[in-house]
Amino acid sequence: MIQYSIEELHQLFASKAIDPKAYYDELFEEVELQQKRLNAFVTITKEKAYADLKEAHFENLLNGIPYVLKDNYNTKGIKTTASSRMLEDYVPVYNAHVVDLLSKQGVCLVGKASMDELAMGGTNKSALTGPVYNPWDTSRIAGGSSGGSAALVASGVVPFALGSDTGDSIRKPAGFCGIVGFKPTWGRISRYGVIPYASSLDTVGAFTRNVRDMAIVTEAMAGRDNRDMTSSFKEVPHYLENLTDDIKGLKIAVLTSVSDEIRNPEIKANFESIVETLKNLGAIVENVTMPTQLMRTLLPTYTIIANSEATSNHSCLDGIKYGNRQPGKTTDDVMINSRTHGFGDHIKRRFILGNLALATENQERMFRKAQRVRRLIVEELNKIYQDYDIILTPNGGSIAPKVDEAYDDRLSDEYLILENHLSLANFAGTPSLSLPSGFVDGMPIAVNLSGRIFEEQTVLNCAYALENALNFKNQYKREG
Amino acid sequence: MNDIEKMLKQLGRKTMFDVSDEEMPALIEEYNVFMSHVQALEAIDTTDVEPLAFPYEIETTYLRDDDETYVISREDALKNAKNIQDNQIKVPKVVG
Repeated sequence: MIQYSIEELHQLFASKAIDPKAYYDELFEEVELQQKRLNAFVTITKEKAYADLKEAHFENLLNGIPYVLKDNYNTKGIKTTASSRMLEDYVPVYNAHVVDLLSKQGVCLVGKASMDELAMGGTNKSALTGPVYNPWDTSRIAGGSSGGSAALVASGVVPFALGSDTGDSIRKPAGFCGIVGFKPTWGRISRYGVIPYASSLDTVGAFTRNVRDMAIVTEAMAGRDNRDMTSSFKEVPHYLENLTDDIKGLKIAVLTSVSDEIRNPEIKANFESIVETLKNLGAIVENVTMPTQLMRTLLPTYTIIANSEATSNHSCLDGIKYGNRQPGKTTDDVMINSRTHGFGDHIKRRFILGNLALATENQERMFRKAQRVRRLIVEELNKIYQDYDIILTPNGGSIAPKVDEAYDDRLSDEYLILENHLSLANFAGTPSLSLPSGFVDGMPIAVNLSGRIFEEQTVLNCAYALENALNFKNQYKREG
Repeated sequence: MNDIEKMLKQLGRKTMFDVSDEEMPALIEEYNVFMSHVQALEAIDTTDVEPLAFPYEIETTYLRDDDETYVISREDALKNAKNIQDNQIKVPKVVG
């Protein structure tokens, strides 16, 4: 019985239709089963959940609701590893801002979820605790970097989980796992206390199994926080109260520079059917393009900016103040030995190449150049938003890959553009939501809806309308 | 060891890593991909285009009153350090 949405569960708790303690007992039985099947938790916080539950009075929508945090959210007194050996026994002395906000609402923390090491990856295979498996087919990945959070919502264990999104780290796994994933506007939600990856791109967001729940969670987390100087002073709208599935006259741009790269005929047909559905709902749907040469620079621009910012952000991980300390004859040796031992090979490579782009002799040619190209990309994207409220794209070109599968051709436009285009919303900071749109070979696929900055409501409304027209709301998978 | 390997090994030290001989082939492979990314960007004309450091223009730095607003205790600050002595983090001897 533990597959309820936030709203359903609130209703059941508040009306005393079910016993909360019994519900959580059953929930933790399922946690054990799903952990064996999916390997999605780093830490299970059973005692904390029951302690939180004791304080719950079910007076508001999130009170008493179970949830999961990606393991890069600092949680006071609870191990926070970011799935890295470097932080495997790090216990924060403070909470991330959004953890405090959600705790004030009375949520119950079920556990900390696995992720790609330091959120740097798209497969969740680099986690210290090993790969996270897809609930719909455990021979496949859940995606990354927020793979544990996605898998735990998609297996119905919790109605919502937090992730973080720097390039597509919420939206890609949401698509692979058949659930809703939302990256709000950069600046809409404080990132204080979230272990960073690349600060000019990083965004806090969530996974849910329906759009209404996403409105609830996003509203609870949004708003200014003085401890994150990039968080916005803009007033937070009542996303749930204002939610409507009336999208008549909404102007939707189909970005064919992306959708034309779909090679899988079933995914193509699905995407075309979604376009028709939106037209039938009364939206004005038209095709738009962006220059191909610029679209081919999405991955290069992302790689250079993200690696460079990550190198800088993680220079503090030296084993001295916290983290996995290794012996050495000098302080420098301690740092070098700690970092060499503490990070996975792919993280070291990314840091070294990030440092390459930041080196004085390369900075203009590499890092600054990437920032200039980023401006061109964002300007092109914003031209579309002058005429359209929403940009529609496929979430990707394939179902979740097998655990040992590698992408065949990393120089093809299918890979460079289709598989990497979700970073557009990170470059421009725009709200971007991935919504289940169907199944191919028994695996979920998705579409992506993005809107103008701070227009979360428009994105949520469009997603709500589409969700109501399709049949993939509240889906989950426990076996297989 | 060729020049690129030597450069990457030195860059590794600057990034506070030891790069082993076993790790070098994978690093070279990723370096080549990285340089192909640099080339892809070089093909784009960015004359008179300013770098974009944040997604949109925002003011993130301004003066505030010099109040102690968010503080943590000394005990908390030292909680995660592995080697502590007399309320300080201990490191190998720096001065002989």
